[in-house]
Amino acid sequence: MPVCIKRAYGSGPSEIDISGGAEPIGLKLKTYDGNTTESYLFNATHPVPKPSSGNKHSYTATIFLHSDELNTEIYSDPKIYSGGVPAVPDPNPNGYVAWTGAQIFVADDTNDTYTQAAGVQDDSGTEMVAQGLTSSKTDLLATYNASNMKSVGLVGGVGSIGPITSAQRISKYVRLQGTLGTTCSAGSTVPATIYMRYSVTS
Amino acid sequence: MIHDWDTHFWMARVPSEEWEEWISAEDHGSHEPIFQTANKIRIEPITTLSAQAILEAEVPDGYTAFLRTDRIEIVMKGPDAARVPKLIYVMALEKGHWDDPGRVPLSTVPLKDGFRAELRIFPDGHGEVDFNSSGNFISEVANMGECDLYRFTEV
Repeated sequence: MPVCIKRAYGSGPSEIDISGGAEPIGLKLKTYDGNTTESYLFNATHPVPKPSSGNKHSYTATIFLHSDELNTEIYSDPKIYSGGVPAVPDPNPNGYVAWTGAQIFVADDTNDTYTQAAGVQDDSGTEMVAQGLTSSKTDLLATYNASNMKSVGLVGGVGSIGPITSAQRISKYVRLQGTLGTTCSAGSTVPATIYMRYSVTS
Repeated sequence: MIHDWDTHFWMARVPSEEWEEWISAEDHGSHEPIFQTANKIRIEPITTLSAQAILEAEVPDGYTAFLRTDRIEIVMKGPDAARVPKLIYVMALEKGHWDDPGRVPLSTVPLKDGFRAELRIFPDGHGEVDFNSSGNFISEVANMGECDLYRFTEV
């Protein structure tokens, strides 16, 4: 596909394709954001610790739609949504834990300005509203699904974009953050699914 | 334009002094002005390996036709990702006029007098058709041997 989802990370920002290829990287939420691959690699480093009180957060992740399909396509209506809060499978050979006490928030505001995520490495990211990345946020898995998608907006706030003449970001920046409460269970939560959908005038 | 990952493509019948003239995604984009002269539109499978479904609608006078291909990318992959469509071919009609309708976000066109039809293509290659109407269009399906023909008709 000429359109992919990229993750922006570090101070630059640097960018990495997380949806393309035979084995997409996907989105990993961590308590780290720097100018290295550790920011996005899908491994067990920099987990979010279970809080003894209050909440712990991942560093806010910034994603966007990117296209390198030149001179042909017109894009519109980018959206993000989820497959809902997944149940623990039965049987559960991987020992996944339920999403009780765990949430993924999406920033209600999207924009065209990148800001590196802040926080204390290996402890907690700065909560996205507190960092000033958005004025408010919404529980993505509990709220947005195929029947109720969140509109993301195109770069620059236009109604449609394209055909483009050079590879570029086509959507606004979307920010996601994992948040844990004291009722969460230690371990890996059941894998959740998050999608982005967009229209192409065919 | 037809991409190598497309499973279906559109055709449109346009007014002609000839008996019938059809244009298609092979040589045109649906944002081109000639597409807005179409009086019949179809979405057809590219090969026999594509989901064998055809979507077809006459375009009544005073209506605007919209064609979109919606693509779904995965941010975070859980088990249900294999059970949702990867591509959605969208055919829509709405009464009224829009300047440059190929650039109009379909989300900004309320369903007041028209229909929206979706041919959803799943990762395993099978397809499902979804149809929503303001009430004055109906969907009928006919089996054409190896293929199902979905006709959307004004009533």
